[in-house]
Amino acid sequence: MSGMSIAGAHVAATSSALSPIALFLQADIVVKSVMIGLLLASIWTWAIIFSSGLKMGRTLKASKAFEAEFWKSEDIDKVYDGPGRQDTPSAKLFTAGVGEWRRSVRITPVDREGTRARLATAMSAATSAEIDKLSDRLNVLATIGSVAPFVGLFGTVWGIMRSFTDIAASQNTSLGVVAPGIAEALFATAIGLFAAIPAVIAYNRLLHRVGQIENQLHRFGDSLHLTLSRELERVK
Amino acid sequence: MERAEKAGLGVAFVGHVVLLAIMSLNLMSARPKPPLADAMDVMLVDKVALQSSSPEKAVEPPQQMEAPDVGKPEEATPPPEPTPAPTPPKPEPKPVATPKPAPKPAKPTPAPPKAEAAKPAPEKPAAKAKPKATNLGDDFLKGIPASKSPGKGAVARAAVISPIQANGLAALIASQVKPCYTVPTGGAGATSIVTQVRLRLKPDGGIAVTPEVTANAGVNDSNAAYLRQMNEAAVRALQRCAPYKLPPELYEGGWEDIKFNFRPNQMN
Repeated sequence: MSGMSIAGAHVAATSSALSPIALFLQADIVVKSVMIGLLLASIWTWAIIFSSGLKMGRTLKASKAFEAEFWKSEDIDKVYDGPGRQDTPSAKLFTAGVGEWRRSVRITPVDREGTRARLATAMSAATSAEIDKLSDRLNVLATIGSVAPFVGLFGTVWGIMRSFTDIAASQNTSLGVVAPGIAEALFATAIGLFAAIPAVIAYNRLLHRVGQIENQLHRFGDSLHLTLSRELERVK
Repeated sequence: MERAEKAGLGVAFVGHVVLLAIMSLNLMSARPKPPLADAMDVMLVDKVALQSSSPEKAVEPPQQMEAPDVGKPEEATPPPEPTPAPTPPKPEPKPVATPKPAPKPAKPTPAPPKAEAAKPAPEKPAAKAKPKATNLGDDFLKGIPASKSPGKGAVARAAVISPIQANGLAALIASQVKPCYTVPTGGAGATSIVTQVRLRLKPDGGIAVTPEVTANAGVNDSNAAYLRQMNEAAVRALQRCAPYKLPPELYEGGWEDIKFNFRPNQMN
């Protein structure tokens, strides 16, 4: 009646066990699979971020170099046989345009209007093929960015459900019983956000760069079209 | 899968492993651990103080003030200062000279301590008023009572016992009543009836007046039928276990007349 002791010892003791691996090992099988899935999604996201980022940077630089070389050179045929073989979007666009021009010019009499239309079609087709190739993996980023939080939330809800069941089973509502379950459940949401946030940021950034490359390709294609149609006037 | 993608996958995988390792290897737990909460004592007090009281009830009256009342400044200041100045040298050697030679020859060593320890100087010479070597007036001893007060207590005496101690008393009584109490057979909820009993005790702990029931708590429809039975059992137990061993210094104003809440729930 006179004195009781309230000890905070066991509550503090659990806080040391909150390392990620411990949390993962404590978790339920469903939460575990959610965590593994989200971790793989995160790895995949970063793989795409690294590879696409590198690829786009390299592509942009190579395309610019090719364009500079093209405008410097006197002879289109020389460019076509030399640097035109490169695997850059600008070179592909150039090859498509010049190849179509050569094929159209071979037919006599030359149909100038038809050739211009075919040149435009060939070059825009090459452009969109290149853009498709560049933005191939971006849909994965978009999916991970929008779905990962929900998957993590599912893991959290499941884990919290389980810890409530534990409370009911042990008839004990002390923090020591509830805390580990809720911590491990929240860890699932944390991983979900950990995967989703970089994915969304990278998606927006890479989309912006794809747009940049596309605009540049269009500009190059337009000037190439102008040059080729001017050349077409000289063909007899 | 292209080569760039393979490289990216490798970099991402290594990065995740490194991150996981960093998080696991004590970078997370490196933050200072919160200090363990000290276990604290919780006291369940069912009484609330409406009056302030000293925490401990002093048995003795407080010590009396010893500082003398200084007389009116008009009397004290003007005459003593000029007149004593020339006179002191004369009387002083006399008292000093006379007592010293007398005790010295009689007992060489024990005499001086006695003369010093007794220290009759302030009382006797002051009464004679001959050697006025100090500024102390004739009313110097006015504040000191003739008979020494027995009071030694440093704390002021409280009129009322503090609720904490009253609660402690209740706990003491409860622990002593416990063996004498047998739970009467009653329906469910009968033991939740709390009986407040007014106990008037003699200083030796015995019952002075038959305990009377002053109030009840915890009575509801289901256990109202057992009210009388429970009250009687409580009174009976209290009578049977007398005399009680309680701290005597808390008798007066404390357990000489105390209201004790008898809780059958806590008597098992």
